[in-house]
Amino acid sequence: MADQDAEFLSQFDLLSSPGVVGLFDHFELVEVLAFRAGCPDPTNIFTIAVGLENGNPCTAEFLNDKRIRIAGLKDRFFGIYRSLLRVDDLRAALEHFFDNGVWKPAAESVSVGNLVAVEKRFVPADSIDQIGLNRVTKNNFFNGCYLLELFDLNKPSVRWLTDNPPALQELSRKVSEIIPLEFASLSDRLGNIIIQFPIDAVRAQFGIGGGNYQVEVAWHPQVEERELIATATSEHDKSIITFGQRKILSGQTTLCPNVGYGTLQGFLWDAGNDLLLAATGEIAFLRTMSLNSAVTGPEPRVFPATLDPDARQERVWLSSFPELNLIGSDPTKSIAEPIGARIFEEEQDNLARQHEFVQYAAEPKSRGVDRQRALDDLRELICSHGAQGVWLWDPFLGPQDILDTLFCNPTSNAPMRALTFLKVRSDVEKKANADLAASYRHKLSSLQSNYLGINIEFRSGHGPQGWQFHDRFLIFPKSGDKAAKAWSLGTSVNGVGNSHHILQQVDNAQFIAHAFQRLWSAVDGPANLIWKFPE
Amino acid sequence: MSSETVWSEWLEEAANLEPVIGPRRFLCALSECEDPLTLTQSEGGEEARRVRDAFRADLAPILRSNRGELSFNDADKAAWLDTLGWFLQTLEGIDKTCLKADTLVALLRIAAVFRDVWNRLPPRYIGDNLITHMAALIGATQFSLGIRGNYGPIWEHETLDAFTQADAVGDWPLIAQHWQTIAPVIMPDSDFEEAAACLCVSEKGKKLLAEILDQSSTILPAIAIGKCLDAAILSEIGALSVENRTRFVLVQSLIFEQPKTASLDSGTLENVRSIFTSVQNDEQEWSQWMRALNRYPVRAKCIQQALGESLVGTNRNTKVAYLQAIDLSTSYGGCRDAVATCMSAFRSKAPIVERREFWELTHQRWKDWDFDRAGRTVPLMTVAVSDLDYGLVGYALEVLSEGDLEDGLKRLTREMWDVQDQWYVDQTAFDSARYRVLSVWQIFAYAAQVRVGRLQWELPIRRFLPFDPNLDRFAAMSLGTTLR
Repeated sequence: MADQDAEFLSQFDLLSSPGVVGLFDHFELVEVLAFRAGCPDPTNIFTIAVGLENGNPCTAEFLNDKRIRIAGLKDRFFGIYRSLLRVDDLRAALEHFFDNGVWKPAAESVSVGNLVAVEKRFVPADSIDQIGLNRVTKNNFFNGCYLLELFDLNKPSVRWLTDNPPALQELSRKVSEIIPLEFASLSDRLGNIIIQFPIDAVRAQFGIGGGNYQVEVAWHPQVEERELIATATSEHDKSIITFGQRKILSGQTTLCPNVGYGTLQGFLWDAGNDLLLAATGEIAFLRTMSLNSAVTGPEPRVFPATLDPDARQERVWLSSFPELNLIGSDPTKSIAEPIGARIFEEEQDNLARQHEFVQYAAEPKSRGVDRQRALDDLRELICSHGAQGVWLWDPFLGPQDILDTLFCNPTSNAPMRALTFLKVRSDVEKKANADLAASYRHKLSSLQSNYLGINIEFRSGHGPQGWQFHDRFLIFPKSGDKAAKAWSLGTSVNGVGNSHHILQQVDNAQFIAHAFQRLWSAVDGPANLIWKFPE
Repeated sequence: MSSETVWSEWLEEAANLEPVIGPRRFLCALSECEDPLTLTQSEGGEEARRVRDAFRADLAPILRSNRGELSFNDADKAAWLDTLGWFLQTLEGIDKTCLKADTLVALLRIAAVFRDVWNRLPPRYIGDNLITHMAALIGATQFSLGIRGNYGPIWEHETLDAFTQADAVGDWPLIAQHWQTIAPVIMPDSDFEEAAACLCVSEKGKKLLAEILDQSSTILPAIAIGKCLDAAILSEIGALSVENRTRFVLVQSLIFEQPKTASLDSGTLENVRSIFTSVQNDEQEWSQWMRALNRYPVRAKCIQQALGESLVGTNRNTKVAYLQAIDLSTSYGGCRDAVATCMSAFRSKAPIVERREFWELTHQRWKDWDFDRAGRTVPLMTVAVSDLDYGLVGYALEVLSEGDLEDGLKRLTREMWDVQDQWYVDQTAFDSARYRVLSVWQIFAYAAQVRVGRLQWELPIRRFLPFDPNLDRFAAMSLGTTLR
């Protein structure tokens, strides 16, 4: 037996010893297996064994009623097998595997890849950060757990699955409908065998009390108390701002001062066994809550979906301008506020550099569907950010586009601007600018609408005062302490979703807003005013 | 003029007054009107102004005393007695002569000034002819709902349409839903109010009023009556009515117009109970009533006792309709209190066999609901209660045997720990599962305490735990941080 295998068994022995981390007498073994006609042994897709206290003997069974089949993998089917193994039996199966290379946890052997025993690791419960491994562990909600893992390095036995992401996604989805194992997002763990030792000997809760970080420790009634070392550290802006360490047997103890900002991490160390008995991820405490409240009125805005006289009527339920209330400590009286603002700016820059975008009509068949999706996305942006104002900038902007977008803003009387260059599509007859503007004005003025809560000004950028523009933007101007936001539409509103384009939030939204404002101010004469409501 | 003794003395004095002058200017102005009955008191126009001026001139002392501006001197008292004398003599004469419209209007307006005069009059003044005339006035009064011009708000159009439609088909849940919007705008005028008040001082008048409302093709007159009369009279008219639409509107009015904290006297409760009992004969109608009146029982707190008593002796479907109508919630609140009041009233009157049936139905409804498992978008984040808790205690005490209750509690206690062996997608799902079992355990733990005499059978307000969270910190920390 290789040294690392012996070490693995030694760690298994330590972690499964009664009272060290728990009182395990059984392991619940859950195996996701692939079966293939002609192959005598199923293939391990993912296996987890979870330590149980007082594990009630139960019948080993497949958790899936019917064979799980995946499109594109017609020659295979899958099953989720659940059984209960005594601690000794699992150890014997591991030993047998290390000695013979055969994984046979029960009567039948299971085909596995080139499994390598890896060092134990401690996995905390999720906190403000989600921990990937918790997508495949069982109920890791308290102190955390130790994992021992046999790692399939090259994954030859499951290559057919790792090379087929849609099939992997579908399999993971179907499995997680039966048992919450989301291994598609942890494809590095495919083919692995994980042994989970939940920390059940003791409970620890790190929290705030009397201006300090503190910990409470309570032991399992059947485990003898022993001295532990509790540690708390608080980080802010990548600096350690407080640190405290105390010996504790049980009960509550104060660890270090809570300065009012930063995140806490706590550890409970069992020096006698060289084991962590609790560790948290970063924990943040709620100190201030902002509450936006707006009153929704009983009267909807109605307007036609299109300019067609027989068009169906759309309804938008309106709300008042939202009011912000802060509950809790005033953030402006803490140094956390200016530091937080700078960190936010940095994160914004990082996001901007990532150029996250939404793509429409990327596939020929998606165009009809994407038109609606694209319009829905624009409306959602308007709903989310348009309470203080919306500016729409598009050289082809016409009355229908305004109906499709600005009329859907649910905030009553939000100031909205629309700027066009009176361009029309090539298949539409071009009129003189003045005629087109008059036609737009007539259409918008004679809608079957109550114009409730509408506050729109529609101008054209043509003429001696204005200038040509090409790009299309949806802009949410700066308001109060809220920075401007802008999205590049990538195409005109009349074409969103119809042909390929990308909707993308742009950097330096304030520059775009300034550019819009310059042209808007330049064309503030009556010749450029197309329509305004209220007049 | 608030003392009953003074009223009694003055009535006697006025009845014997000879001669009386009466409100001559007012009567004269009314007699010159084309149709005094349609002349509303707030109307503009020359004719209305003349009538108003004459009214004020003749009744000035009484109007001033109503406003508290007057301490009676002999002249004022004489004016009072003269007007009252005219009022009484005119009433006495109604059966002998034909009552003209102007005199009828004068009687109603003066009655309004005297305030609650009808209840103070000796019965001889309320003759059949007077009742007939008052009933005719009520029957002839037309109510209609309209909107403010063609461009009124959309929601008004739609609410009116929905209300009118619901009225036509007798959709009481929908009527109840729009009641708060529509009912307040139906304002009967003072003549209508006085006519209704006059009718309600005699049994004959009440019957006539119920008949008139029963014959109406819409519920609007009944809503108007609901504005004029107090809960006791409304319940009497409701009990005399034979049409469900009238009964429903009067009960709904009684609930809606009643102050939220007020309770009803025993006679009114008995009338409401009798109305419920009549309606319960028609299962479909009863189901509608329940969905209208009992979806949120807190809104009908004052009738809960009558409701509970009315369920005694009813069949299974009637009780099911009651239980199904409640929009159950998982939190403490007024609905839970109201249901407990109803069930407590039922418990006090029903025999044990029927109680058992009701508690079993309650338990079944609660099990099917399962803390709103099907409809919930937010998981349980604390120990939940239910509006049916009072009945569930009944189930534990009167349906389950002592052994069954003990076994059930043990099973639930085990389940509370076993729940940790299941797999959960996240901590929220895990907490929700724990709270669900703990919530079920709660009510039976309370019932067990009642059974051994440590607590009274009432609505549980305390939270129970299967361990002492201050002593067993390991259990408390394993079962959730909010448990103390």
